[in-house]
Amino acid sequence: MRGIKMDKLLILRDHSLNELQDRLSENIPSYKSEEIWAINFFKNQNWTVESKLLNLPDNLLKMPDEKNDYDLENSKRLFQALSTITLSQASDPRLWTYLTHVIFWKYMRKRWPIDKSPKAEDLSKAIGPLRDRYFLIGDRSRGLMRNGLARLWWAGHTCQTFDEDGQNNFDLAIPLFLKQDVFSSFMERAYSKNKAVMKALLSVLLKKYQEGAPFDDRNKVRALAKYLVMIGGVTILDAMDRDQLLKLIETQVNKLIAS
Amino acid sequence: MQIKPRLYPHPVLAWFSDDYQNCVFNPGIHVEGKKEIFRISMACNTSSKSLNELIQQKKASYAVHVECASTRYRDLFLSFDSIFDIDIDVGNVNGRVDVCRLIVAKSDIHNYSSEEFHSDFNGRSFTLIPGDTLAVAEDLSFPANKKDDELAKLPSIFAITRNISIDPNPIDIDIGGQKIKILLMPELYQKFLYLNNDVLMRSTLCSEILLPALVFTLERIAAQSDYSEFIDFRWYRVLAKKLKELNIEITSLNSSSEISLVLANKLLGDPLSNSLKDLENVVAGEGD
Repeated sequence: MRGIKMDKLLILRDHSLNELQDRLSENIPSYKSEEIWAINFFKNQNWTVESKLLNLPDNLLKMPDEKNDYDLENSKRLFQALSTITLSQASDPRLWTYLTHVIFWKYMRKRWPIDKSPKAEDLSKAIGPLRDRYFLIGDRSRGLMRNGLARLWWAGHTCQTFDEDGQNNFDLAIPLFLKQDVFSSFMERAYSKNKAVMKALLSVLLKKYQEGAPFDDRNKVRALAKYLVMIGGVTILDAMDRDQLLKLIETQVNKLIAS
Repeated sequence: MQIKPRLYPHPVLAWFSDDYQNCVFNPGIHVEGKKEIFRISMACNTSSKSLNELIQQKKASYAVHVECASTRYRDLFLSFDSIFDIDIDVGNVNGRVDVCRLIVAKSDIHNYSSEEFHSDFNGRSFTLIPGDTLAVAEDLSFPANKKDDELAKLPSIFAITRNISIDPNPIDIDIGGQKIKILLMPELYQKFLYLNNDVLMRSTLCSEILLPALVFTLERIAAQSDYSEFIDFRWYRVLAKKLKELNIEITSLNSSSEISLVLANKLLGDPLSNSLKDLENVVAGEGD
């Protein structure tokens, strides 16, 4: 690696990021490989650059299996490993695309394999899922919620609280990772960028989960997500205090459960 | 958050409506970039007596909503004082930052009515809850300029990529994004990648590829009368800052005493001279 100190995390250079994106179609078969093919792809090129972040071990994440994706556990692990990065750094496609293609390639193959997708017979239809999970293309905010690794970090960033003894607590992420639909219905909304609003929402959902009645019905989740958008058109959700938000959300959740 | 013109269930003093007669809400705002923060200085006021009364009673407050789409930063700042500052960490924002100036209810307000309402609301009063919008000024935004790349140790505003179009030109340029994108036909792109590995080739490559691209870009800017299409792009903001260091306003390029080629060579740190020196060394080395 040409004398680069390995204690710093490498990221893609702009041209190598563009190269991977531009040549995605012809590289689709490589996304089925167990090998970290990107290293060979850029052989003899100056394709990475040292970042200002410390390197990450490639065994940081727990490998998904048939029973569990371990999204909650991995969200904790990834967020804590990168807990000091800025929002600017955490939204950089060079970082996440390098991590998905190199450091955590094996994890990505297990968690977001293209050969198990419903449309695997026609590999060209894998382009959409690959763009979503392995890259950050298009709308940045939404892309961060779909990228296979960025979504874990941003969930940790949104859900982290502290216990009375100052310990990290990620319980609020429990209802978020119950189903993919719950995650995307809320985290792809504009209000999800406000941590206070999301914490109030997830507190209500966590309570339902702990009472043995998780709020994860697809239609009801979507109805609640849309309700908050509608309310936010008149009342600035960010300006509501926590108790007010909790009451508003709980009332609506109970209405939806009863309907 | 951008507040587009809409109808509210109660009167709102807004630039897009006449719910309030002969009243305005247009807070002053000044943004300054410091080393570690962007400071937004607010000077809020409204000519509405009823809204001023609510603020004095602490039933309403001024609110500034700040959002950066590219970093998912979003926050709301409240104040009962008309003059206040908001500090935002530099690391939280990048590129365009949207600012929304409002007056919001801070407590439940019952039977709210005002002589300032449009006559359509005569005799009517309204119940408001905390967070309800009472006034909104026109949205605005500011560019969160950054001198250096926050993640990598690279200040470059250029990106050199392979041109994947059918029958591409040897070189092409696209200035419609955050970086000045230089597209090379595939064979030339491969040669670039190979040569870029050699430190002695870097200045020559800079002269051959970056210099003409920057000349083109400067010429395009000089030919503009409206710069709004460029203001969101990082390369434009970086160039503006670099030109300012040379005492040149980017909006006055067409009246600069130096031609684009001279300026471009200066901005890139004189790659022409460095290139000729490097090539001299290469030729001298081959002669050994």
